[in-house]
Amino acid sequence: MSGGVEEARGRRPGRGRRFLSQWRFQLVLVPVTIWALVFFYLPAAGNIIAFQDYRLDKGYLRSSFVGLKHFADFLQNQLTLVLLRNTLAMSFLGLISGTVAAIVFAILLNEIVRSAPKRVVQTVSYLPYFVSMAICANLFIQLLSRTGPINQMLLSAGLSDKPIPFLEIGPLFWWILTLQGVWKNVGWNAIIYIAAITSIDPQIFEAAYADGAGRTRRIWHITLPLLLPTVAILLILNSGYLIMGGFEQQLLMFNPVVMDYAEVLQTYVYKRGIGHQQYSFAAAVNLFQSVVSVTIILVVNRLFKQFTESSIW
Amino acid sequence: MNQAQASATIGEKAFRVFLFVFFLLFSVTVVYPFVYLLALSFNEGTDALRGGITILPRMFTVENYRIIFENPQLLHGVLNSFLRTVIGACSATFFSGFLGYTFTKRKLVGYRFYITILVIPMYFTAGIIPTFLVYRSLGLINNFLVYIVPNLVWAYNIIIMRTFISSLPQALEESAFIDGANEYTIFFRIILPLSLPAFATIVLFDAVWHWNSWFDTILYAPREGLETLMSILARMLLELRAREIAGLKASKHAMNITSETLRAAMTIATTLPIVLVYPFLQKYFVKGVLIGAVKG
Repeated sequence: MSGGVEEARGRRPGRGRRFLSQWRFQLVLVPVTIWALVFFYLPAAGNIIAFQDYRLDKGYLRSSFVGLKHFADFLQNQLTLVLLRNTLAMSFLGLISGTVAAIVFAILLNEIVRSAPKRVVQTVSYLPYFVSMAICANLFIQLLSRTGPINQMLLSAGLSDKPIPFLEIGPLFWWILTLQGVWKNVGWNAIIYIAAITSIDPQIFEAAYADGAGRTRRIWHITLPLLLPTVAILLILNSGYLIMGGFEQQLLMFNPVVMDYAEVLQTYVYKRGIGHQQYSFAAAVNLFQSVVSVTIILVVNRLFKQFTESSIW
Repeated sequence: MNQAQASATIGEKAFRVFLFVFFLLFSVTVVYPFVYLLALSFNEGTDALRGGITILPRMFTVENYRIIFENPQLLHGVLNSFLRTVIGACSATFFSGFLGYTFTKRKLVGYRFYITILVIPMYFTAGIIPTFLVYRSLGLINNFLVYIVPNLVWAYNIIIMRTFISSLPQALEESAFIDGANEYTIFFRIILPLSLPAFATIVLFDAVWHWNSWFDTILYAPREGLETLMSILARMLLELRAREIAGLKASKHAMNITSETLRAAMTIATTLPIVLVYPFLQKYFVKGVLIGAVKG
C-alpha cells in the first residue's frame, strides 16, 4: 500500500538505501541475529552428532557417521520402555491435574464476591510460581521427611504407627511430583482462565439467573462451555511437551530407591550425555523426543480441528 | 447480581462457608511449607532430628544462619547470585526494550526475517547436548559470561515490550524526530521513561529468573568459584541423593545433623529476596502474562 503511494510520487528508495537510513536499528539487529545463530541455530544444527559417533577430539566434521545406530540402540534398550512410561505418566498426570486444578481454582475464585479477599487469595496463589524449583524441591523433601510435619501429623493422629518414607515409594513418587506441580503452578495457570471467565458477557449469566438456573447449572452450562476454547488451545500447545516431560523437578526429587519411577527421558539424556559423555547417544534420545513432540502437536491440532472449531492455526 | 442472591438460601450460605474453608486451606497449603522451614531454620540442629517441629522452633538458635553467612563459599555464592541477577536482568531488559521498540517499526528492512529468527527459539530447544558442545567450543564453560550472554534475548519479553510501546502516542516520537533526535535518543529519553512500568515488569521477571536459575551452573560452570546461591542449594539436594547412591546410609544420619536445619536456613535465605520483590512483581505481571498470551 504505502509502496504504491511512494511509487506514484517517484522511485521508492531501494532496500540498501533504506537499510542505511535505519542503521541505528540495524546496528543492534544484525548482532542479535548473529547471537541467535550462534546460541540457537548452531546448537540446533549440532544435532547432527545424533547420527555420528561424535568425539570431542575429532569434532563435527571428522567424527564418523553411523546413521541411525543410536536411535536403534535407544529403541531396543530395555530401559527405554520404563523411561517412556515414567515420562508420559508424569506428563499426563501433570497436564490433566494442572488443567483441572487451574479451572476449578479460577471458577471458585470467581465466586468470591468481595474483591479484597479475592485479591489476597490470588496474590498468595502466584507466590510458589516465582520460587525456584530448587527451593520448591527442598520444601517438599523436608515436609515429607521422616521427621517432617506430615509424618508427625499422621503419627499423632494414629493413622500410622511409624514414619512413612513418602519419597521412597515408587508409584507414590508420581503423585507427589504431580501435587508439587499443581502446588507450584495452579495460581499462575489459573490467570488465563480467570481472564477468560471475566471476559464472559455478564448478560448471559443474568439471563440464566432470570430463567432460574442455579450456581452449578450456570457453571456447568455457561462458564465451562465458554472456557472450552481456551482449554483446547492450551492443551494443544502443551501436548507437545508430554514427551519432553519434566527435568528439574525429577532431577532434584530423584532418589535411587525409586529410580524405576523417577528417571525420565530428560534426566536420562543429561546423565548419559554429560555424566557419561555419550554425547551422540544422548543427542539422539533428545532428537527423538523433539521429533515426537512436533508430530504430536501437528496430529493433536488436526484432530481438534476435526472435532471442534478451535485450533492454533 | 451476586450481592442480591448472597443472602438467599441455606444452600447459598453453605456454599459461602465451603468457599471460605477451601481458600483458607489453599492459602495455608501455599504458606505453610515456608513457615515450617522458617521454624526449622531457627532450631538447633540435633534437636530438630527428633522431629515434632511444626510452626515454632523448639530450641531457638541463629547458629544455622551464622554458619551460612560465615561460610566463604556461600558468601561467594551470594556475590555471584547478585552479580548474575543484576547484570543478567539489566542486559536482558535492555535488549527486550530496544528490540521491542525496534519491532514497532514495520518499515524495517528484514522485519519478517528478524521476527521469525527470534520467535522460533521460543517454541523449540536445540537440545542440551549440542548446546553444551557449542558453549564448550566458545569457551563459555566455567566462564561467568555463560550466565549472561545466552540469556540476552527473550522473544516473549520483546513481544510484551512491543505491545506496550506501540500503545504510546506516536506524536511524541515524531515531534522529537523533527527536533533532531535520533532513534537512540528517542529510545532513552522518550520511550524508556514513558514505559517505566513495562520495564519494571521485565526487569523483575528477568531478575527472578536469574536468581532462581541453578541448572546452568551445574551444567556449564561446575568450578567452585562461579557457584550461585541457588546452585549451592540444588547441589546440597543432589549430593544428598549421591550419598544415598553411594550407600552411605550409615553415615547419612550424621550428615543430616547439619544438613536438615542448614538446608532450611539456606532455603529461607534464598527465598527471602523473592518475597521482598514479590509485591512489586505481582503488581504488574498479570497484565504482562495476558499480553503475551494474546499476542504471542
